[in-house]
Amino acid sequence: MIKYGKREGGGTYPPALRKDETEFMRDPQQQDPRLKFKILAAVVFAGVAFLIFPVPATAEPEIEFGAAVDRNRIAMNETIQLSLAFSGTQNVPAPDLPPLDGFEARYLGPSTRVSFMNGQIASSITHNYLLSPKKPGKFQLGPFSVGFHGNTYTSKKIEIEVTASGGSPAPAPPGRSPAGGGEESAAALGNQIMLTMQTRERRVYLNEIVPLTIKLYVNRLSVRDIQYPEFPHPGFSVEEFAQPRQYQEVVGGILYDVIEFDTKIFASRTGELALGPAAVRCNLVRPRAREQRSPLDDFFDHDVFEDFFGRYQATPISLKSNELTVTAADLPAENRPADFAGAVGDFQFELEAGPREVKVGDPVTLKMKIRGEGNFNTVTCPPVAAGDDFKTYEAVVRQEDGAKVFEQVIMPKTDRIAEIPAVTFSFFDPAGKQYRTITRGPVPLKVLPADKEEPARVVESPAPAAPPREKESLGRDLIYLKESPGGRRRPGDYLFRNRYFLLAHLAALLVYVVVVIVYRRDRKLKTDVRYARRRRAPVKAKKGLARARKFLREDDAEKFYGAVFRTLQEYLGDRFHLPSAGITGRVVEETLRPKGIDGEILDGLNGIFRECDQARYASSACGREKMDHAYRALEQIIDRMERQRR
Amino acid sequence: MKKRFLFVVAFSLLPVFAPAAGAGAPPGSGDPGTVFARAGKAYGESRYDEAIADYESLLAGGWESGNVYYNLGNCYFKKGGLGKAVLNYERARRLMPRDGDLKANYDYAVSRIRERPPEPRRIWLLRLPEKISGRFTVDELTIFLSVVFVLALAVLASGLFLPAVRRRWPVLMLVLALAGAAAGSALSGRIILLEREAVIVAGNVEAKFEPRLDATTYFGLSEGMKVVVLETEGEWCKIRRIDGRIAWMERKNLELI
Repeated sequence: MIKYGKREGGGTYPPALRKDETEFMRDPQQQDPRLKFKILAAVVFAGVAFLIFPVPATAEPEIEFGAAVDRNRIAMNETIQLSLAFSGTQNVPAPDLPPLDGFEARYLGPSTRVSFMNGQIASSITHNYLLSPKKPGKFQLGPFSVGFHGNTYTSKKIEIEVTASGGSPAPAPPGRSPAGGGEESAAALGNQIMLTMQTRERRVYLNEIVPLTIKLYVNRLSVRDIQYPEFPHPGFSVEEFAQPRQYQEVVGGILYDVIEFDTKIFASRTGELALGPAAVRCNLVRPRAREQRSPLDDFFDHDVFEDFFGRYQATPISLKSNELTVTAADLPAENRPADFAGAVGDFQFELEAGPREVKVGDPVTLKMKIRGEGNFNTVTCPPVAAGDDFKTYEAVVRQEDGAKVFEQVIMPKTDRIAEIPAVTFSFFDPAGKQYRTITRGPVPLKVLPADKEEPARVVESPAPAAPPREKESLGRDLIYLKESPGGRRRPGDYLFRNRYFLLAHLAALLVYVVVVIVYRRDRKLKTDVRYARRRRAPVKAKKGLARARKFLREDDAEKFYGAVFRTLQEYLGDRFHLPSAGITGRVVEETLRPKGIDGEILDGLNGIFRECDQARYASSACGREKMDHAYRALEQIIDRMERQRR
Repeated sequence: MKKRFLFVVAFSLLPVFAPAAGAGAPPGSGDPGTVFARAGKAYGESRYDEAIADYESLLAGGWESGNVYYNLGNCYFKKGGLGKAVLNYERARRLMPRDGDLKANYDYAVSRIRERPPEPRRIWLLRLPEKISGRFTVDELTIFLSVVFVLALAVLASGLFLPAVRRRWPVLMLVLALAGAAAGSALSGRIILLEREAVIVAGNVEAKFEPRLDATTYFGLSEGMKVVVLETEGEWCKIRRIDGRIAWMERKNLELI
């Protein structure tokens, strides 16, 4: 609660907190980070503003002082907060409170505020004290007097009642309806929360714009999810609500947080018209009553999700305001101008015309701007008395902020014109309760004759964009015949059905397979010596046999057996990947028998080796017949070994 | 080794060109050139029935061409047979899909179809392959797929002998695989529809829920509308309209493209 006192020397202080100012004040102990940022931004902004608009050094800040308590009725076990607020400065130190009858005081600390409104910076400091009652009864706090810079500032006194028990109307405990949460009764909250509706005037004229204010007062309660007010308004037109404003206000000695909803209404018919009551729905947020509950109760309780820890719960509440009765009177008939078209408000009228020098038939634009305060719904285009000398077109209307603009094109028909006739705008001023007429013009106009006969020119009102070009209309019909039969083919003779085409792909695939096989064999011959020797063995054996056959024909036993021996050595070496030079009959027995070579072949090999050894030492003993036998035996053995896999 | 590789590649490419070379000229019906010219003259003199008879005789001779179908479509259109006109334009499109005149006349004819159901909405990415493949004939797509196949074999084979190609195997094979998949998909789609697409050649055809005349009518079909024949049962065809609706209609009212 704040009480505004008088400075010594007289003069009433205006309310410390104006309704339309932007606030940045909060107790530092309650500031959240966003608020701190706002305060910081405000301070920076205020600093810049001070630099740009420096305050004259001689200007003495006007200091206002007031004392307030958060409630004026408490119980013995409760406390109240006393606030000593100084606006216009932040340099006032904490005053030393005189001994208070019935209370013990403890200084809590200061809170500061900077507000910026209409380019003016306002700062204040509030020193807060906690008062604990010592005994029940009615007490008086103050008036408090504080001296600062040679001036003494005095507050009004405050009445406090301390009861033995049950102080201020305690909020009803949060009720839990069977449905999971019912509405809180506004009556149960007493004067802690209330809604009011008020208009500036109770007697209005038809179509007169009247501000309507709906205020939500909240004291020591936390409210959220506040919805815009709804109210019945038969016979009235209502504009949309502006952004709600928030401030503090003292009502009945109690300091309230106020949320103010502003709108404008106007009566659309005459008579006694009822307005309201307005209704506002919101949620009260209060600590949850502690009780024994199971965890499942908490889980399924709808309020749990409204607070993470479940310590608070929101209870819906519906508030209703007072009703208003507004008398709407018809506009007076006497002195009503002939050109009055129903405009109600306080307006100014401006007229511009251009260009001022035209030729016959050229367009001239009249810009008629009506601005001011009032019901723009009733403002129509002022009539232009152009007569027969002008051709007129329909005006284009544009609504601006606080103004309505009419742009009308007129076209002179003759060069005898010297001016655009005066234009008048009449409206009813509800404040002055009279009709007013504003006349603008005449506007001088120089009209030159047209250069030549021109066809009638189409003149349109100013448009934001040029008219689109008309799309050319093209004819449409079939394109003529083809002159030649073109490529011919059998019906249904598709390539994918052609068997030769498909076989060709198979052939291509086969070619690829052959290429891969060739590549692999070639690569194995290069990298696998054992394989390469195995592949070479029969080829080399064939050559060796040819050599032996040659020596057989020449009947050269020594060379023949030498060729047979080498051929056999080389073949067996390549065939079984052995060093060729060391292969003898003994090696054959030791190496090839374990490999599973047919015994008959091994015997034959041993026989040839023995024969070769004999021939080496006694070649003359080897006759032609023996050589033939050796040759055939070698040929057969190689042939049989080639037929064997291993 | 290089000579062998070149030989392999050249041999692999042979099948691509061999069938085209061996296609040969189909047997004509007397003097096709004279008949074609006569039909054109009849069309110029608005004797559309005579022109149609001549063009049909050319087709009856056992060969077809895009230009003949195009001219026949024009004749039917001028005569007032929108269904037959669209049918012949569709046939011509299969043979010369990129012909500008044909596209213009086809679009014009289709615009005259009385009631066309809206095409199902699909994102452009799904429409794109169909649009691209629609610009090629079935044979062109087949040749493209064949070239991709042979190129893939050639790349694989040459990679065995040329390290430079082998190093690029993954990229080359990926490109060829994608091209092959796209062409294969487009070709298979076209082949499936080859003998199933039809055009309504009669006016105000009713499509029924069942293949009998007294069945409930499901929807109407305008002359010139294209449908897909799903099944045939006696004198009835089960068809699917462009919007996906399926119903039965009399076989005599449609003609396969």
